[in-house]
Amino acid sequence: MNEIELNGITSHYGQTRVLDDVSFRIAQGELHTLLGPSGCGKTTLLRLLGGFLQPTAGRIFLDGREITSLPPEKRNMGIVFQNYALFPHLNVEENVAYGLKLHRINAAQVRETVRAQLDLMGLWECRTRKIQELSGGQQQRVAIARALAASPRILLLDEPMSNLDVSLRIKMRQELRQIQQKVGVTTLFITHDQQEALAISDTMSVMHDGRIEQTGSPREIYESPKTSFVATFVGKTNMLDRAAMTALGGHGEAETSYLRPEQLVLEPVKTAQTPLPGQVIRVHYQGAMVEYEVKTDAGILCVLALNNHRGNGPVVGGAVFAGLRP
Amino acid sequence: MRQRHSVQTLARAVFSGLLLWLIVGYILYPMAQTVVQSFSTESGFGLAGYRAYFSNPQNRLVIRNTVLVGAFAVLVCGTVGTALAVYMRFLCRRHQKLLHILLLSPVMIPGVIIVIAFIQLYGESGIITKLLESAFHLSTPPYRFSGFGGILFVLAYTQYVYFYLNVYTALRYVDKNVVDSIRSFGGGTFAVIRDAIFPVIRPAIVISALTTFISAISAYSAPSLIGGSFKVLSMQIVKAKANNQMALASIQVAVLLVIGLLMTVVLTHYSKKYAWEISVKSAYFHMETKRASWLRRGLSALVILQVVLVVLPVLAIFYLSFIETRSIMTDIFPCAFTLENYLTIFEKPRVLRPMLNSVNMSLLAVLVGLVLTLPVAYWERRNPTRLVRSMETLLMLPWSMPASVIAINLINVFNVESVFAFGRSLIGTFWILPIAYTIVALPLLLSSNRVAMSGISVTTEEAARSLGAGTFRRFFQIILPNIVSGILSGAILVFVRTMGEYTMSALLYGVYNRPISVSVVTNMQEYKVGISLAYGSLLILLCYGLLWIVLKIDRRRFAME
Repeated sequence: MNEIELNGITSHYGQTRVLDDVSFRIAQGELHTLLGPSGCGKTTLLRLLGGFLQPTAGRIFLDGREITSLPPEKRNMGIVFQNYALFPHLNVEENVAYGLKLHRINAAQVRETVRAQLDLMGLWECRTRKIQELSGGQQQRVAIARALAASPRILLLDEPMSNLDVSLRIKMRQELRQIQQKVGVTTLFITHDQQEALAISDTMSVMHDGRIEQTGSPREIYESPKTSFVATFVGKTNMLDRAAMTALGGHGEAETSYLRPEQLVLEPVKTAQTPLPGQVIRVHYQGAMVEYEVKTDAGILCVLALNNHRGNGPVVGGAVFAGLRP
Repeated sequence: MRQRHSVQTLARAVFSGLLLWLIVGYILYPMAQTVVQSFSTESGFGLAGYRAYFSNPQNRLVIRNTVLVGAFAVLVCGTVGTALAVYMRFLCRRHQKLLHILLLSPVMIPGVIIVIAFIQLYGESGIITKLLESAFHLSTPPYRFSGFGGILFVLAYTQYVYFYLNVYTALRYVDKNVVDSIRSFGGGTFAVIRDAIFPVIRPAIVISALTTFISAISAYSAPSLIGGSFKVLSMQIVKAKANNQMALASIQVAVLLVIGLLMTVVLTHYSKKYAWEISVKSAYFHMETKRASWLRRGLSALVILQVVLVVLPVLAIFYLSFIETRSIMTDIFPCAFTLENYLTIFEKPRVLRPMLNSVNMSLLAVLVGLVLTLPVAYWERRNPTRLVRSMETLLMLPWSMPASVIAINLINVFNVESVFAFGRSLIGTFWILPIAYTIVALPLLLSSNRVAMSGISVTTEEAARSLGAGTFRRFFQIILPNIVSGILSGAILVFVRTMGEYTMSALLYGVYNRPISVSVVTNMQEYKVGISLAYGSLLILLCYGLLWIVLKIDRRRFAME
């Protein structure tokens, strides 16, 4: 079992409160993502878990044993830093073997583990290369291999994709997820990219101003946001009061409802499903999807529609009727 | 765990205490002592000494001369160094590496040797002077290699390297995209220079100006050997000390220090104001050759001239070191070859002694300097507390203190028994010079160590820690391998600098520590020119050997990456 639990963690930087009563639990083998904007305290939380910082208040447990004041070198946590922090004077193989050698593992086993890790990452061919000779994606995989080689109890990843270009990011996040599932290591992943968080996580927490706003599965977070921050930070959202919901043909019980753009639909004519008249004020063509901004009596609505490839969708200035997608 | 933590805290406290004690004892207190001394008069404490000093027009002239030398050295070195840097960065197409190393090499040759070589070349009976006289049948030398012009010529040759290297490094970051955007707005060459190039090199110019100015106003070998009737403060200080007028020397030191500090304050202000960050996505800029052909031709000529100026004195020293002194002094083209000069050095222990003294003292200074500055540089990167920052500021202080100031300060405190020397007097002992060298070495080593430390990120160390590496392992397996070449190359440069140090050496040397720089000068003054030049050759060989090592281990140091 490698289960981690944070209990009421508060942290200050000088007079500033960086983390405020943060609590969550990551179960064995789970990939948990911390999602939040820059400066919300994500990296501070990771450094606290790594043991590089001490909280002002609160406790950290690993399998029920408190590790709050245990130094980093005793925690056995694999960390992949944003800049990868590879050892520049060692080659690929030596980087991956570094942690194993510290654990006084015999040479044959070190070789075997390094080989297994480099094979897993598709890096065996590059084993004797210098770090400076690797691409960003390769460096990232070396960093992951180095962290995993020492069989860490927890794997901590601090925005490891942020230095990669978009297409490589998508490829690497799929690879990372596969490796994590294969190895079965309990993982905390930090990112400010909502798409990445939704795609990769078993569970996730959304952070804002040092507090956890909501914890749950990616589906729960996206489809049932509990706060306006979560609703607006994770994907686009239409915030509607009770009157607006009624105008759209719905029956809102809550004071405020959050509706995703794909939950709305536009028609050229008024129907029972699309009762609310409006005028298209902006069209954002996105390839597979088309996003419309529509001015209505209930406010400006954002509506997402699938591209039907006929080019006969609403145009700017055109009259439309909006409603809830059935 | 807690126990180990407290051991570390204790070690840190002990080190900080020791360092502060040394700084107070060997830098701050001596400085204060000099200031106090400068206000002491026969009738008590007051401004009478200063009044008398400033009322003498000769003294005012000396101050004016000193500032003039500093200002013109900055102007000449700035123009030459910047022009060379522009050529080498943008226009040089052939033999770039060789030219770059040649242009850098004066930094590795002790100034006093250069002055002597220049005298042998351009002095009244110098080779070039005699060559011109005989070629044009002149009865008197065609120029006078002395006074203000002579000093400036030597300084321009020896100190343009600061400007050259700093500007050359900065020019690497001129952003092609910025240049292109200026062009797209209709900007011409002037606009490109003003808005794309100048802002990038301005911090380098400011910092080089400060280094050159301080170094020029403290220069002693050039003014004393070729200055003639053109007097500057450093010469006055040495003379006052020789006449044992320590109160007068202290006033002169205070004046020199104030000039140095004023310039430091002004230029530090500008260096902060114009601090500049490299854009992440910048692209290399290359000048189009066609567009810049006139510039290219002019600068090529300058580079050729400079390379000749660089190579000629070195060749002259090597050549003349194999010539009999009599022939050097009398023949138009000295050619009476001999090995006598070298045999004298290696056969007579008394003659070899200064060489060994200098090696020992410089090594000692560098080692002690490293021990004192490395921990501070390390803490500054890891955990820059207020204490660490103040230790850093104090260690940087000697940077704005001219060499003669440091020497006089030490004399004022250590000519009597001092608590900081465990109740002993240090003047006349071996230790005073290594101490003075260490003080000069501190700021140089600290900045070099800081640069070396920046070569490894904090997260790299944290990565090692997360993998289970303790303090000892982290330092020796991760940090040290990544910083050792930077630290070593910095240490070598400081070693070379102290090996050729002349100003403090002349003020502080005694029977037990006579250094090579002093021997080079005294041998020449005693008409043993051959031995003097053989010393010079050995020193240059040593320095070139060390330059080669620096180029091998730390290409970044001279912007050769």
